Amino acid sequence: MGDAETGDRLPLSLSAVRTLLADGVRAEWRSIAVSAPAAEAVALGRQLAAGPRATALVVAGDGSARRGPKAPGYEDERARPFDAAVTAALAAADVASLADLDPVLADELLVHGRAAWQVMAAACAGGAWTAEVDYADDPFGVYYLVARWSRR
Amino acid sequence: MTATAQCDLHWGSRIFGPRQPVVMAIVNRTPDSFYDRGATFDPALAFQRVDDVIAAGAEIVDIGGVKAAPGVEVTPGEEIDRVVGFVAAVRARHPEVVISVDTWRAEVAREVCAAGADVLNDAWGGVDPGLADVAAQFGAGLVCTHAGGQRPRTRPHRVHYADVDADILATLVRLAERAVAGGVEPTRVAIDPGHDFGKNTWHSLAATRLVPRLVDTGWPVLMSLSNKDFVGESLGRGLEQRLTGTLAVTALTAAWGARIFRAHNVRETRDTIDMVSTVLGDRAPVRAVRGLG
Repeated sequence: MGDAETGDRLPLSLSAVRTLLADGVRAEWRSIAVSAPAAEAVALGRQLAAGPRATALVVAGDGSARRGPKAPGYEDERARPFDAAVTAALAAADVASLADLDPVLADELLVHGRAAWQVMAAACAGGAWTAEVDYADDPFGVYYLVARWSRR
Repeated sequence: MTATAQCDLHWGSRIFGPRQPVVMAIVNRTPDSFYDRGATFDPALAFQRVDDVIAAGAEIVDIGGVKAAPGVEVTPGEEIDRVVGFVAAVRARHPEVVISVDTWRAEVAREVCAAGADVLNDAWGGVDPGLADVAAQFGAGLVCTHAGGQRPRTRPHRVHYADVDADILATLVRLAERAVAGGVEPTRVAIDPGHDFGKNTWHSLAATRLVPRLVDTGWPVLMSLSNKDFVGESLGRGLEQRLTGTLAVTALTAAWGARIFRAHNVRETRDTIDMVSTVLGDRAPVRAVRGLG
């Protein structure tokens, strides 16, 4: 989930996921606007949680694009602390912190993943999760996070 | 789709014919532009640069006071301080050279035109609609650029165009026609597809392939390619190693009919476009005696 667009095209985030999926994996695609209100993310998350238990959720969204002078969005000193907080929340399966992410600040920091992470938080609420952050870096000035939550 | 013929371009006191490509030399009055990094911020060095580029064959100098990339804010007042006095001095020192100023701000445009600038190079594509009005008021020339709607001094981030060719064409024709409707002389307007501005490398390459259709609009086409990231990314070359790639695109687009080449490396650009003109038969060899004596 990530940037929603009109028409038949998948948004960029989901196109990326599609290229990574192995053949034969059955997938349904849901997108949510980068700036969608938290309430909308919660509603979508709960809807997904009501689906079959065997479903795996792939959540696509990025951190800030304002991490330094060479970043696409140049430098905002609030970007790194924001990204660090998201990383910590993903590492601890901290659903509450993800739900509490500030949408206005996320927009200002060009964080494209905020709404998607809030869908994830709502979908995972009430569960017991083992969390692992596999990757957290900004090779091109945009913060990329890869994390896995497994139900205990 | 019918093609409209290219006409003479009247900039300053000069007339440039359709088969007479010209070099626009970049002269930055900034401490931090991407390529020259302050090399001509010192006025003495800047005047030397102007002398050198004219000697190397540039018909136009393009004076800029604010770097295009993000960074420390330069207020209109500071921009005016950096360029206006310099424009007046260059005008006095080189009466024949065409002076272009690279600015997006109408208030800067007003001051530089009053100081003797001939052309306004609006690299951010009309973000200040008053700038074209200043060109009209002063009888100055105008470069209309496609910048993808970006705010000045921002980088493109996941820019998407449903049809980048159509977007560039429509934008440039609209900007040019709006300028003329507002009183800019049609013989003083040029269009620039804006490589790297609001574009990733794929978009900039498409913009390059679009040049024949831009030429067919009838508006003189300006190429601002010099040492840009789309060249660097295409070849895997760092900032100091992009001249050859730049000249390759220069030659290609010159052969396709682009007429104004905005460049850091003036002598090399002059030679490239002159060679293309000579091949096309628009220019005679300097001296053809080999095998003819």
